Amino acid sequence: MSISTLGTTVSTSDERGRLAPRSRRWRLPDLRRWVSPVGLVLLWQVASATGLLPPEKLSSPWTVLHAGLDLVRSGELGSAFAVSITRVGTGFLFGATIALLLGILAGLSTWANVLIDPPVQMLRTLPFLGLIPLLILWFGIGEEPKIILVALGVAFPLYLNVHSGIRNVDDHLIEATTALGYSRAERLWHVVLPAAVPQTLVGLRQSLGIAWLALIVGETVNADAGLGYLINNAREFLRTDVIVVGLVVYAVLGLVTDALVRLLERRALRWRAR
Amino acid sequence: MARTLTVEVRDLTRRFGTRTVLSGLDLDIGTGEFVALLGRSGSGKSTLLRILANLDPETTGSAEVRGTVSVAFQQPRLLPWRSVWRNVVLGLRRDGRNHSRDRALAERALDEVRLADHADAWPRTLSGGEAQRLSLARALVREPDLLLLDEPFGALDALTRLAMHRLVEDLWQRHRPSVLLVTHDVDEALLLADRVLVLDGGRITAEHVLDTPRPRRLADHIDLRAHVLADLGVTDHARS
Repeated sequence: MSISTLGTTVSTSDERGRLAPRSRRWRLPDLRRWVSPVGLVLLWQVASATGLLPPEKLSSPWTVLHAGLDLVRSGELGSAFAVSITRVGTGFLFGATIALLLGILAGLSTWANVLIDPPVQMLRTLPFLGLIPLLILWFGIGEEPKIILVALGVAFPLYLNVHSGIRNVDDHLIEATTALGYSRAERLWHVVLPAAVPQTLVGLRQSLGIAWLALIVGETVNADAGLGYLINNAREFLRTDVIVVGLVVYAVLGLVTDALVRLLERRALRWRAR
Repeated sequence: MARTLTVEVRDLTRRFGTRTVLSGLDLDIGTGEFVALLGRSGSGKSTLLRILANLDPETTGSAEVRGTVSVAFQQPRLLPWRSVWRNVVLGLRRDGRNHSRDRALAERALDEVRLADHADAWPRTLSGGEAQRLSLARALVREPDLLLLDEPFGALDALTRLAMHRLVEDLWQRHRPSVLLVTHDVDEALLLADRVLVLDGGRITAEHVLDTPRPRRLADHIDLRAHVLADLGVTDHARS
């Protein structure tokens, strides 16, 4: 953000250091850190090739790679992927909306806090994955129980973090803006909500991690489409290669969402850099 | 006396539970006057300042302030997620959306506290003295009629504090707001104020008017200094 005002451009090299959040320079990755992961994969390949690791227990990396390519070509992986990501997306949207609404309400109003916080705190001690039998009884084995499971997983950590983020706003900052004549609504907009952003992002990261976990469990228990279905179906045919492909896709999706949140954090929390 | 008043406090009382912090306090501050309020810890200095800043509604008596008020606190209380110049426009109750006009105002205010080249920095990157200067710029940008200073130099190192005294004196002479400086530093009060008040037991117990020219030297006020210290319950031989 270099801004020109009054005919002067404010962006000297000297200042850069103070302004820019010291952009993480692209550095050469430390290649040594790749030695053991690659070694392990090689070891796995060797174990498979020598018959030490039978394919019905675990396919070789090479077979897995081929299975993955086949699944992509046949379109199976693509459609399974689409189904799963829709589930996570919908569930996340529901869960996050509810969590933000309740968290902000309970964070701002004493009454809302008294009414909302106790039941939420009680419910969050329930292991939400344990709700699957009930969800199946209530909603059958369609999309609803999976989406609800994801929504539940997302809602609790996000609620807790939004709530505490708002509750722990520095009173001194509130007072400083009050002294400047800011109304309650203006303080909410200029101080309370921005102050709660870092904690909210922590919650977002946690809840996205749990979202994938919830999806995997939900899809593994019962499904007729999606990545979980792909994996379970493969189990019936002893296709360990397809199972591993499914697992790898899950892992990559988890990594990608985490990276997205971190990107968001870096954008939103630029001011935190020294 | 035909002078106009910015602050007119009458019979002001503030209790916290059973403890009476201010009891029947009267205080006038004239327009453009620089008043220093001294007192020991817990004497109610900050309570009075908070009442004048409209941060404490639970009082009896009257405390009238004419015009706009700004406060600079002991901690600079900056919004860390707003860049330096956007922290300044906070004092205008704007968020910097009207970019060029707000920015120009902010830069002028920053220039006065010698922070113009940090306009785009984040508050976290500022030193203690710089942050406190930014807090002053934010307080002054709205051209207040009353500037309340709540021990704003208390947390700074001695050298920075001296520079800040000069700066505050300079800004006051340029903008001429009425100033109430709450402090427990007698020397600071003697250097800066037109009038030095001592607060004790919830009311003002001593008043000293200084009419020596500025910038002042402490050496010229040795006698008054002993007086004020005595008012505060500190005698010279008790100190040594």
